[in-house]
Amino acid sequence: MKKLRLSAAFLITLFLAAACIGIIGVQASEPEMPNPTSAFYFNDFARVLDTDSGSYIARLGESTYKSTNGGQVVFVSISTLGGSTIEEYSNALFNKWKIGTEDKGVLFLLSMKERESRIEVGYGYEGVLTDIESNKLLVKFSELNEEKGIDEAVMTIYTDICSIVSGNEDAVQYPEMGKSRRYSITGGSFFLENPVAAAVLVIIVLVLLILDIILTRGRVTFIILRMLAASSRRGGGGGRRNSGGGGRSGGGGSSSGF
Amino acid sequence: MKNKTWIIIIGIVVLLAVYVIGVQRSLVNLSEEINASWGDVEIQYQRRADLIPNIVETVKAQAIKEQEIFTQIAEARARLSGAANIQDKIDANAEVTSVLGRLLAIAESYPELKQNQGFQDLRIQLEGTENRIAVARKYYNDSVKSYNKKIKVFPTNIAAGILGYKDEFPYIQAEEGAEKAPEVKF
Repeated sequence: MKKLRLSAAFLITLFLAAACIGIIGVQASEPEMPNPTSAFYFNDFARVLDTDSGSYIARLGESTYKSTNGGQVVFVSISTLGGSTIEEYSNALFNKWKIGTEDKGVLFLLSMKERESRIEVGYGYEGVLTDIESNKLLVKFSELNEEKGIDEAVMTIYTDICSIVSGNEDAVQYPEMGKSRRYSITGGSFFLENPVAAAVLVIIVLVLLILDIILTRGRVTFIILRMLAASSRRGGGGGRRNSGGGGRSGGGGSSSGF
Repeated sequence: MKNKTWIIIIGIVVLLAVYVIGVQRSLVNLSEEINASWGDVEIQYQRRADLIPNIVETVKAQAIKEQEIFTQIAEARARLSGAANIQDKIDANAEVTSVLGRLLAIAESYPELKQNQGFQDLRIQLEGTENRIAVARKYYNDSVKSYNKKIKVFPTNIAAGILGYKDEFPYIQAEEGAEKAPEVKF
C-alpha cells in the first residue's frame, strides 16, 4: 500500500510540475520602454516642448480619434535611443502601446540626442500616409525647427498628420496585410491562448490537489507552491493608463535627421 | 483493492490524453502563426520586387551606362520568379538585397541621379520597404522560434514527436547591410 502511495505521489509531482512549466511559460523579453502618459497623444519624455504645445496636441489627438472613428496620432519625444535604431525603437513602441484601433495609428517620434525623427505608420494607414509623404513631412519638420523652433515645428507637423488621416479614410493600398496579426506571438500565458484546455487543466489540478492531500497530506502541493512563488516574476504591469486601440505597425513610414 | 489501482491507472491515462490534446492545439496555433507571418514576409518581398522596374527605368533614363548591374538585376528577378519553396524565396530575396545595394552604391557616384526627384522618391520607398521586410522577418523568425521551442522542450517534445511536428521551418537570416537601409538625407 505504501509503495502505491509513493508512486502515485511521484506521478502527481511529475504531472503538476509539467503543467506548471506550461502555465508559467516563457516570459518574452521586452526592451525598456516608457508607458504612455495619461494624455496618450502627447508624450514629451525629453521635455523639449512647452505646456501649450502639449495641450494643443492632446486636444487635436482626441478630436482626430473621434473624427476618424479610432485613428490615433501619437507624439513622442525621447532623450536618446540608447543604441537601438530609430526604426527598431519606434516599431517596438508602436506595438507596445498598440496605437490605433483597427491598426489605424501613426507615431511621430523624435530622439533628441541622435537628432533623428521618424513617422511610423500603422498597417491601417499605409495607403493614406505613404512613405514619401512621411519623408516630406520630416524634411518640413527639420526646416521649421531651424526657422521657428521646435514647438511650432512639432505642432505644424502633428497637425499635418492629423489632417491627412482625417481626410483620407478609405484609401488602403495593401488591404491583405495586417489581418494575420490577431494572435499573440510571445510565449505568454497558456491560459490566454487555450481557454478550454486551461479550464480542463484547472479541474485536473484540483483533482490532483485532493488526491495529494489524501495520499501525502499535501506535501507535494507545498513543494510546488514554493517553486511557483520563487519563479513567478511577472514584469511590466500597469496597462491602466494605456488607451491604445490595439493597433500594430508593419514598419511603414520614414525616418530622417533634423 | 484492485479497483483502486485501476482507477488510478485510468485517471493517469486520461490526464495524459488531455495533455497531448492540449499540446496539439497549441502546435496547430503556432504553425498557423508561422504560415500567417510568412505570408506577410512574402507581401513585403513582393512590394520590393514591384519597385525594381521603376528604379531600373529611372537609372537608365539618366543614361547611366552600367550594363553589368542591369544584367545582375535581371538575373536576380529571374531567380525570384523561379523560387518555389520558402528556402528558395529567402535565398532569391537575399540576392535581390545585395544587387540593390550595389545599384545604390553605384548611384552614389552620379550626382544628377542623386538629385533626381524621381530617384529620391524611389529611394524613400525602397527604404520603407526594406524596413517592412525587416519587421515582417522578425515576426516570422519569432514565430518559428516559438514553434521550435515547443517541439524541442521537455515534456512537450514527446507529444510533438508522437503527433509528427518537425523542425522544418527555416529562419531568415538578416543580410549584411539590410538592417540599416541607407539613410535618406539630402
